Amino acid sequence: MNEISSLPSLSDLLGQNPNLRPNVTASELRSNFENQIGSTNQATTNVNAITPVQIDKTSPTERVNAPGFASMFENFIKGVDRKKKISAKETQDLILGRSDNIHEAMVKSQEAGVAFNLMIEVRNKLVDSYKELMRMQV
Amino acid sequence: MTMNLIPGVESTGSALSAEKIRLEIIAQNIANSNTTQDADGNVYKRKEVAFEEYVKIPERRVPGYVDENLYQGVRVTDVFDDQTPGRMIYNPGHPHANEDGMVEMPNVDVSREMVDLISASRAYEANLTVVKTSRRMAQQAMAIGK
Repeated sequence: MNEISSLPSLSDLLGQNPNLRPNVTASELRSNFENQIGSTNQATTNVNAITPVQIDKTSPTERVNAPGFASMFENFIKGVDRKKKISAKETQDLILGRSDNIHEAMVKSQEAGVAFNLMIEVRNKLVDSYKELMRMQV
Repeated sequence: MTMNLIPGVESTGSALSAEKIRLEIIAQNIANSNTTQDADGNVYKRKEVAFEEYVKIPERRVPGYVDENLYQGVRVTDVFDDQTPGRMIYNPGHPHANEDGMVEMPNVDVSREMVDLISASRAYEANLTVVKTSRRMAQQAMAIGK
């Protein structure tokens, strides 16, 4: 008997929730409910205040026409080619006796070699990423 | 667009050219160490080179941005004669002897020229090491992708 009396009574439990109070009137319930709805509506208006995300309206072809990666890479290849041509010219000048700068020819050929290696590295990376895309599970 | 893939190669290239000219002048001095008459009819005078730093920096320079107008290095501005008087030798039969029978020898000291020669060759070597190191740095950077 003692254990049962130590437990909280039903009215105490109900009193903890304002909406479930046994002596609460219908009008009180309604105003409580309306207050809750009102605060939710306010939150909704706050969400509407945020500007919507701008959608990219350019067509895919327009986007492709912009100077992109392809032209950049083409310029890079042209630069490498130019270095190779300069190196070839320097070497030719040296062999034909038009110049006596051994170091100039060597340095240019090293420069061309490094540029070419860089191009190969970039190409390998590109091919790798293409293969990675092709392997993707759809 | 210029790609400056090997850093410092412009300066080093000009330094190699300058050291080459210095070596040529030393060779000329050694070759003429017994020349008593030069192209103007005077005794040969030891020649020296004067180097000058050369920098051409564009007005607006952004650090780390490669500008094709940027060029720096060293250049030879002057080859001048060493005016120290040469040794006088008594040799009346010499075609270049003066009225007293004395011949002025060139003021070239071959042992000094040898020291200069070693110095020039070491300077050339040092610049070549810069090129090698610089190229190795670029190659090591490219090894990141491997």
